[in-house]
Amino acid sequence: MRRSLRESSLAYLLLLPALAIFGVFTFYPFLENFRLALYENPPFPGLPSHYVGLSQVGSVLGSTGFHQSLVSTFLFVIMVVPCGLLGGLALAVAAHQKLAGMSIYRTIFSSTVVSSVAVAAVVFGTLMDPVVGLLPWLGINPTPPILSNPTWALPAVALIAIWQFLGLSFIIMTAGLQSLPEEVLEAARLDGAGGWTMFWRITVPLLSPSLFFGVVVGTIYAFQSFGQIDILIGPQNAAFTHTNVLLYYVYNALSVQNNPGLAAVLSIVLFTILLVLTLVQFRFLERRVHYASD
Amino acid sequence: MASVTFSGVTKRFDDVVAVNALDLEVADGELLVLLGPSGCGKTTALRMVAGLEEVTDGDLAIGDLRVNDLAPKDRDVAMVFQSYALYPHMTVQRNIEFPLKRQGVAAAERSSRVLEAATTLGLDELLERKPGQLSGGQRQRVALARAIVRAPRVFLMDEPLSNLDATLRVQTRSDIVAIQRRLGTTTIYVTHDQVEAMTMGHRIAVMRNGALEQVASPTDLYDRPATAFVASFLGSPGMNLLAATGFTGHDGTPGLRAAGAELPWPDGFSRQPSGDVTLGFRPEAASLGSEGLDARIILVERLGAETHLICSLADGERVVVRQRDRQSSHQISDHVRIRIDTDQIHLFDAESGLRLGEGT
Amino acid sequence: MRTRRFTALTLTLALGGSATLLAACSSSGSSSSTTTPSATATCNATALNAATGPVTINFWESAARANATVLANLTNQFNASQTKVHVNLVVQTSYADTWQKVKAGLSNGQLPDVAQIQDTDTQGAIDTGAFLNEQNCINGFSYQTSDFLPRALAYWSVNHQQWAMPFAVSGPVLYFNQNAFTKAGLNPATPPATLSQMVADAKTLKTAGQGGMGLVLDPWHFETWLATENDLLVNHNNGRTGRATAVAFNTPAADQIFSELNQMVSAGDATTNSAQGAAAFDNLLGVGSGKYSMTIDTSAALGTIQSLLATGQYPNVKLGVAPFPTAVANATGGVQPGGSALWISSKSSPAKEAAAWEFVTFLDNTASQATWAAGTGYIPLRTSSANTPTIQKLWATNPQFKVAYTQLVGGAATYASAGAVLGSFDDVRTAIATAEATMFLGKESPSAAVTMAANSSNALISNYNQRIGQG
Repeated sequence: MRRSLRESSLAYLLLLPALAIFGVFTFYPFLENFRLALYENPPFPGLPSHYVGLSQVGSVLGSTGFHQSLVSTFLFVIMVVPCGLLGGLALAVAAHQKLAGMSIYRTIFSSTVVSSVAVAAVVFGTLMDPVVGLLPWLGINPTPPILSNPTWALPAVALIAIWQFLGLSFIIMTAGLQSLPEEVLEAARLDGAGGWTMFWRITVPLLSPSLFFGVVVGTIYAFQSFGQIDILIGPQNAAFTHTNVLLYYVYNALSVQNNPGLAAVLSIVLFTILLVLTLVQFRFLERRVHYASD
Repeated sequence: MASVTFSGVTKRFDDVVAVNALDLEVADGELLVLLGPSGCGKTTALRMVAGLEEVTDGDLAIGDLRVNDLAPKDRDVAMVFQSYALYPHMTVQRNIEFPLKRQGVAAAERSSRVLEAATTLGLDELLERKPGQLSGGQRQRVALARAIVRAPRVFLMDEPLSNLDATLRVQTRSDIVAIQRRLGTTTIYVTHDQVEAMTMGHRIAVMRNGALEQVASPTDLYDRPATAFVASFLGSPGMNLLAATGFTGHDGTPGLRAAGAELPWPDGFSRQPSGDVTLGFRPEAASLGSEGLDARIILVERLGAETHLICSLADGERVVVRQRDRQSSHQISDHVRIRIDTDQIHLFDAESGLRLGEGT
Repeated sequence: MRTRRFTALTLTLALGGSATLLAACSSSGSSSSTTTPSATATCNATALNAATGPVTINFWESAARANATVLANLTNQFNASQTKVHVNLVVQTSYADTWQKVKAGLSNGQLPDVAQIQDTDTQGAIDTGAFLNEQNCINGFSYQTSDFLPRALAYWSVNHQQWAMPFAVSGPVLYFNQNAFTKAGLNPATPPATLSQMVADAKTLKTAGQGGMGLVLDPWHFETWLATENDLLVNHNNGRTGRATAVAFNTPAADQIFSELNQMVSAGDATTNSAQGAAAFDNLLGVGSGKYSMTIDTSAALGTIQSLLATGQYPNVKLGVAPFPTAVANATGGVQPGGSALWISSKSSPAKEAAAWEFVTFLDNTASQATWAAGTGYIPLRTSSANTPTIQKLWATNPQFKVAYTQLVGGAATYASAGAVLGSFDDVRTAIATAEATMFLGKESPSAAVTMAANSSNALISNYNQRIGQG
């Protein structure tokens, strides 16, 4: 008894630095957020904040801006995750061929992982520019121009996010393909599976751990993206309210509007959405995942 | 059902020759075991039959049909893999059903055939399970069921028992033999385990370094090994092999000198009056007595029903003596004399390892 | 599998955590001190005279490139002209940067003594409580403002108080390609004077195979159209006699403006571009390349455009500059200005405030305004500046520079032509631009788009007012 007490106090002592860091940088801010949500802040620092209780939560959740943000966020995620995963899978399958020089393609396909959001945004922004860009040259030139067009701005920035996610998605899918059990694929070949049957009935289900991991990581990535929007759209763009995804809303609420209360409410919402989504993913999606039998 | 014929079949991976000009015919309905140490090319030979490896040279036929360029699915062969290679996302039912679906067999027939195969292998209670919920032995039986449900012309089995524990292995071994005998399907069975080979095969083909050493029935293989390699590879422990030299005595009778002792030239082997030979005898062909080769016991293995005495000869070579005697009184370091039953001596050419010709 | 599950959950928590962390970070200081503008603020020469030695002040300016050079020269000139005040010029390069740093300074105390702040932040600057009402200085120094253009002063006058002195003022004007007009059978000497004439000319130009209108999505132009027909943008006399609480533009007049713009866009006679970001000058570039024959933009761009044309890159363009086409014929209002003013910090010592005022009045004196206007293309804010040889010579040789001045002294000086003062002005502009864009997409009719803009704007204004404690 005495010994176990000593052991456990040693364990707590050893855990203390980690707990302290988590406490200061994660748990405290996390809890502080709930307090902040109860205060209404002035548009400028240095002026008094007011305790308003839950009324701010209610008014934020009921606001048109929030509803639009929610819609934009989910549209963005729905565009980015499936397209990014399927694109990565397609590239991974293409690069899985045993051909000479394939490693060059692998390098190219995975390179978007290391490209910066800013560079990608500027390059794509130039391609989409209505006067000097590639799209008008191809005859695609909506009015208002894509990046200030309430309809097309969100798909445009989603395209950039998809492009950026392709690298990671490609790497996940390639790793998945390379660790597929060779004998199962051979068994399927002998059993008469070929082409599409092989791909959809055998390869994709065997890849389900990678696909599931990709869905989780991709969803988080998509919820996290706002660099492209900040660089290409910005808060004074006609398409702003249609591209104001939740995390960008949080960022704007803080950096532009000096509104920690709003930001706190929004980030609690974002946290809740991600938590629920991840639980749902694990609860329902993971059932369809088949980890290789040991 | 069909025969499988290898005619000069060669498989090269870049510079490495995995199978070298293999000539082998597996008869219709036969269970042929491909036996050999790892890397001998037996699995490659099997995979060529399946179509999973391309034939570099030579002809491979199933029945009368040359299959070199035929896709795996068109060869009508079923394979059982060492890892079982079950589809982890499908139930047992759908695993077994998968090849039938691909063949376009109607649903009603499919389910009756699946049920029949599953019943044969005692899986009828497990049809709704997924592979992850099964034990190793059950998975192995699902793999077998998936193979037999197709009623293919040829079964190919690649070390199907090596992932099972010893007890299950013996049980499944006899199950496979029973099914094969009942269905009469031509079967090629790859293993490195000589006990499996001896107990299961109609014939055994021993391979080494990509080439065929000998193909024969298990007893022929044991009693008349064609090469020193086959002699040493089969049997547990394998045949004792000693370097020996033939000589002709003063009276003109041929003799054999090994480990400092002289033996008469055994009957049934063409004489090699001069030159080196390899003398082989099985552990059970040796006994301890008052005369024979000088030896010292270095290890005593008591296996219950019998005892193996591992002895070191004067020149340092080792031989194993098998004693039926349960309570052998011999101890390590005992000096003994080993007597060899001359009727059970085998002679091989010292260089080529080939069994010396029959005759006088 | 365990590892993956753990990783994914950790990622989720980490993201959630970081978003909340982001929110929690900036909370410090926001709920602390209360500042109300001093009712008894004084700003007079006594404070400066009492100071021992030169008073050093910091000036955060928002000009960039050539304009920044002109401003640096003026500052050096000021520092050399006297010994009581020394100005440190801090280049912030843009209005957005200056304003962002001012807001940061409100919590960390790093504030300038003088800042060049853009027009849309007027209400915000007042509401921070960190700036001096310069009317105090005008009174304290008995400063004479009669020489200034009245509408330039009015733009920064709230509740009859001159909160800040105007500095860099421009106006929207019509740029057009005279060659295209001639080819389309239009007379380049009579460019469109009204919105409907502009719409008709755009069609004529387009029909004749010339470029149409390059329409920048800038609600400043919409505000100006309202001002020309003497209509208010927001209530309480455009926020000039009381805090604006709602927009005043949900009217048939605004519907008409939207409708005419929409007509031009839907007929393909106009192409739009964003007022922000990399594409902000696509309309001007389009005039240069011959893609467009007309566009409306700030007069402050004229210097840049003329120097570009002087390079001979665009031989097919003969630039014309005309006054902003009014919303209706016989307009009763006037063109509202745009630009920035000089704000003095109320957090500085009385000596620094007085020193700052000395500097502000130097930048606004006759000679400085003439130099500034000639060097940048901004409007000279004093009648006396306009009459200097520098400006007179410029206008004689280059009359296009006079267009914005003429339209600012012309028209009626009313609350409508003084432009609006309101909180969240930038967000309201975004809301109006969004409504315009939605209309151009064919998703809303012009009047529905105006209502949409009004509703979003009202929500933004009331949210701002509530947060400022005036809701």
